Order: sequence, then structure tokens, then C-alpha cells
Amino acid sequence: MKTKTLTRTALLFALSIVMAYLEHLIPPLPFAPPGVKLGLSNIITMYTLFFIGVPQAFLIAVLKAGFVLLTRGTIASLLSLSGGLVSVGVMALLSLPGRKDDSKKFTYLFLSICGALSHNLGQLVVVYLMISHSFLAYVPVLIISGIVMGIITGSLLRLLLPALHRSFGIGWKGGA
Amino acid sequence: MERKYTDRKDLFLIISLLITAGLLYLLLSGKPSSSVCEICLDGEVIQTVSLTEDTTFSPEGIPEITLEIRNGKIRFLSSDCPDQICVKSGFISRPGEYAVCLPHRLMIRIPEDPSSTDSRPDAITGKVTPNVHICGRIFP
Repeated sequence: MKTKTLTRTALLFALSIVMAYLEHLIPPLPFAPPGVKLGLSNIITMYTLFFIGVPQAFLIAVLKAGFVLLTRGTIASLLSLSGGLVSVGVMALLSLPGRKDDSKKFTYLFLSICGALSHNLGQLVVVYLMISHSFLAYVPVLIISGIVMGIITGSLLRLLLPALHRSFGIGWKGGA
Repeated sequence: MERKYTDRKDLFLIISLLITAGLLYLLLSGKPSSSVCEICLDGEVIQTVSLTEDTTFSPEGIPEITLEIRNGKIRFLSSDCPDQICVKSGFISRPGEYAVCLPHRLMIRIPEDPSSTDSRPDAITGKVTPNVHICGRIFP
């Protein structure tokens, strides 16, 4: 890994932890079902995936799970890892089409919703295998929340793109 | 080269996902909860009643206690015991719930589905939780 990529990835990892902390500060909505989270750090994962590289996005997902292991324990860490890896995998696959033809590209919103959904489903698999088999009834809730959170994080990514590009020197011809 | 933020295809994705969620909800919510209640005296099941019909009755041999079944739930309606803890327990309906009248050595419980609790590892400790039969534990 080039030094530039290494430092960018490290900074993005730090940013994703900050995002998780920011999300923690927001009081839970009274009508939100338990276990449903905003997933703000998914903004950073998506940015890494689209503008740094697929391996780096996977790396951030693994590192995040490691951070969760240190701060919140094994189960939470496994949930973070499974959700993160499945989500990055799905988004990486979906970002492939349209390399030559722009009109075939999936949009940010599409990718973001699919990422949020697959994050939820990846976690559900671990919950199903390890904790309880009755969680299947929760799938509809997770689908709806995946749509809502996907729209929110996708929109935030679109809003933050210029600032992120400026910070990471991407799209600047002179190189960083 | 720039990826677009959104287009019409996204709407199809959202709508089809909403339909999937709705269908799954209909499919999964159709399963009824446990509909029987066991009445235990001295740790032995003396009676098993169905919760489907609304009724008020006394358990066999204990006229001092009245039980009420309403809307698929059961409760101690009245008892002559001094502390009334059984009455204050209120309605129970979910598998694993129970209410006890200790002075009369009587307990009502909703039996758990054995397939969902047998040797299931505890999420926190990783230990295997045996399927405890509460009736036998409280009145040895």
C-alpha cells in the first residue's frame, strides 16, 4: 500500500469512529424500534469504497470491528464485523457496473440503501446463528429501517462529498 | 464519469423493498402465540386450559381462587390469600411467563416451545441454558 493510501485509510478509519461517536450522541428517537441505528459511519465506508479502493473499505470494516471488540465486547464486535463485511461486499459488487457507460451506473442512493440493508441482514445472520432463532420476525423492521437509514446516509454522503474530496485531496489534479 | 445521486430506478428499488417487507410481515405475523396455560399445584400440572375462549373459573379443588381468561391472556382474578401477589401479577400470555400464588401452592404458566429454548447458548456468558421446568423448581 502506498503511503498516501495508507494515511488516507487511517484518517478515514478515525473519521468512521468519530461518526459512530457522533451517532451515539444523538438521542434515540422515541418511535424507533430497538436495535435500529443510523449507521453514520457507513458514510465513511462508502466514501472509502468509491474513492480509495475496495481492499481499503474491507480493511476499515475489519478495523472497526476490532475497535468495537475493545470497547463493547465480543458479540457487538462480531455483529459489527459481519454487518460491515457483507455491506462492503454488496456495495463493492454493485459499484462495478457502468465503468464505461455512465448510464448503467447505480446511483449513490441505490448503493447506500443496498449497503444499509445488507449491513442489517449480515448482522441478522449472526444473531440467528448465535443468539436466537426468533429474530426472523424482525426482518421487515430491518428492511424498512435499512431503506430509511440508507436514504439518510446516502444523502449525507452526497452532501459531504465536496468537503471529503477537499480534505483528502481527491479530484485535485496536482496530487496530494 | 460522475455517479449520479439518484434516478428513477431507485424508486423501483424502494417500492419493491417496501412490498417485500410488507409481505414478510404478513407471512410472519400470522403465527399465533402460545394458546395454552398449565395450572400447577405442588409442582404437578393438574390442568391444562386453552386460552382461546374467554371464561372465568376456579382451578380444580381450589374454590378460593378464580382465574380469568380474556383475549388470549390469563390472570388470577381473585384469591383469598393475604398478600394478593398472584392477583397483582396481572395477565400473562407469552411463553415462559408465569404467576404464582404461594399460599395455595398454585402456579399458572404458559409453557415454552421446547425447540426454541433447549440447550440454547446464553448470548452473554456462552453457557448452555437447560430448559428449566419452573413448576418443579418452586415446589420441590
